[in-house]
Amino acid sequence: MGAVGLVALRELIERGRSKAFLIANVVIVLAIALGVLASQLLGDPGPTRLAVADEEADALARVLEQQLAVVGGAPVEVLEAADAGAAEALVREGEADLALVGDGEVLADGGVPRALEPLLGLAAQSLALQDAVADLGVPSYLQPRLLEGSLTVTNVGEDDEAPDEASALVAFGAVVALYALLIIYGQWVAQGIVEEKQSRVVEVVVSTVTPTQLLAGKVLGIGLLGLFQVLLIAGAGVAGLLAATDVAPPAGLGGVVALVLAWYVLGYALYAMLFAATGAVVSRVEDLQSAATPVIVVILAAFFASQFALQDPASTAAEVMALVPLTAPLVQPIRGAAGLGSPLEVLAGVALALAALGLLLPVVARVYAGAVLRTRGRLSLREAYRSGSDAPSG
Amino acid sequence: MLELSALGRRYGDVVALDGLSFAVEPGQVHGFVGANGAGKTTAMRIVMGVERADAGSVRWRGAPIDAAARRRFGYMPEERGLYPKMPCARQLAYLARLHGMPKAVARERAGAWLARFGLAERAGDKVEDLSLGNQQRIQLAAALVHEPDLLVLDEPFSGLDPIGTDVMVEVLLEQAGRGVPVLFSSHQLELVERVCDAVAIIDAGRLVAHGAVESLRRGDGPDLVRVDVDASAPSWWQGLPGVGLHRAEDGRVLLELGPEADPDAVLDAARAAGSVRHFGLVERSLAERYREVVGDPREAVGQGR
Repeated sequence: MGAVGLVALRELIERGRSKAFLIANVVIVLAIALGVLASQLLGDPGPTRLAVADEEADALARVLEQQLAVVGGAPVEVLEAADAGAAEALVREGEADLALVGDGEVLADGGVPRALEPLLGLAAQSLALQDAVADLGVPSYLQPRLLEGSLTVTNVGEDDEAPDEASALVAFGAVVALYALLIIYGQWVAQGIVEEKQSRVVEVVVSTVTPTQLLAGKVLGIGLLGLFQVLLIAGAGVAGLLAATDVAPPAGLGGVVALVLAWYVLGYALYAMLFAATGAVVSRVEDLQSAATPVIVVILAAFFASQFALQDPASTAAEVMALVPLTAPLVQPIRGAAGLGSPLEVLAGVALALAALGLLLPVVARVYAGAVLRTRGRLSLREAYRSGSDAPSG
Repeated sequence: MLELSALGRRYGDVVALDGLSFAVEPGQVHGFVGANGAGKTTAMRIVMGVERADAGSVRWRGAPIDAAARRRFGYMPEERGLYPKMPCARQLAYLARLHGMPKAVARERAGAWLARFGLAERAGDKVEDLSLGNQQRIQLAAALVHEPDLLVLDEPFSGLDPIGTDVMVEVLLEQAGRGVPVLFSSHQLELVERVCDAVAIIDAGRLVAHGAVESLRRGDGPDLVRVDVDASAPSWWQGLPGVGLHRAEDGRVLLELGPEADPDAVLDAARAAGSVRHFGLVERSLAERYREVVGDPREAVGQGR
């Protein structure tokens, strides 16, 4: 095994065995499982049961049923009761949620669900309107046409369909996970570098491997741990989404997951380089927080950009941010989940990210080489870059 | 053989090394002494490739040092350091593998060195949980675990207790015994004198004395003879060929005997002058020799007054 592989393996084993990593994995799986469970218990109350006392109430319930089907609300189940008393009894016994007892009177135990209240009003209005039209003597065959409103939707945007709720949920979850993992694993890189400097072990290691090999192995090993966690989140998340009955898994879920994985790899590589440079120039872990702040601010800005893109994935700003290397990792999954990112856009984003990485790599390697053996005080990036030119090659 | 030739290194206006040249032979325990800041650490770091030379070169077995050759070196830096949270055995095996050993051999050697230092039962403990003395043993094991071709140790004796010092001496001699050149720096001149075959003394980045310990102690100057004679004439030695006064010491004299001087003639002259209480060749210690070639900074202050 080469030097890079050995260094990466050490990071994998030593950090993979750490309590922090093990606990994080357990917490992630538990959190997703709890989320699914909670959505089952709280998010899916089942159909609203309506007890109807007479024909008029039944007609109202049918109109309500149609309206609910149109707006996509939870369905209603109609229970026929003999009279108003029987309907009221059903509500009292908890057999029905609401009772419609004629003359627009609604009996409830604890109030009408908020989403249902305006619809009930509309249904009553609609029924009253039907009666009024019938009373005006309009022939029955014309009545439906009179009442039928007409609404034609014309899509003036370029996009075929608006994102549905489930894909927005997937996009949001993916971006939050990516954001957290980029920060956590990026900081592990910076921290690992500083710890090696602070403990002085780096001089022993750099006398056998080159600084570039040490850096590459560290970034690779920590990145693989992060990748494991991304896969865990993606696996548990998709399983949870499939298990949840109230949210239909969006079409193209596999593509979104692939996009998230790809952008974790690229995003991690980019941000790990920035974190590595900040870790290399300080000598004590205590100094790392302030040194890493600019990088964290950049990730935070990218996260806000992604939240903006989540509100309006089709906007020009989102299109641009999907291409900018530091925002693309968090914005492309959102556009992908919204069914917007064309293959060309994905390829262009990847190409730009790779190009940025190609520019960043030699600079960071040189900063690292110049700073890694300066175990006292703090260097500026410029100083580190300068002394990197005459650093030993190992 | 390790050869340092005309090494130069500057840090801004500070000259750390100024044309430093010397060689360490196979199987030689080679001391490296000099004041703080004389350039010892810089020279050793250049040998280990963690510092660049502005001028000159280092050659190993007659060739410039490449990464493969350097991987076979063992190094103990001035500032000790290991992964504090990594268990001893895994850490040593990891370092052995970085030095190019196969996995199984690396594990076996790590275990063997832990056993050698009586730390077998601490194999699974984190380094930070060990006492300072045991941490230093692990540090030494880290320099030795891959059975290096060359050992470069920066102040290996600093901070060691007497037992630790004995173990270190034993290991250095043992390594030299298997033909490994051992270069180490130290301020403990008595120890250097006792352990080393050869010594390089540097001052302000330049080599001021170098050679076998025996010849270095004698120096290339005249032999010194201390004579205590109850003489009426204090200058009884004057006129003897090749003899001069090194220092008068309260009734006794320390005479310098040049190459043409005849010690027997000096003794005869002393007996002729009076009753001789003491006549003997003065063995100079490395420490005395060191003060001669480097100069005592306190004397330098005295001269300035």
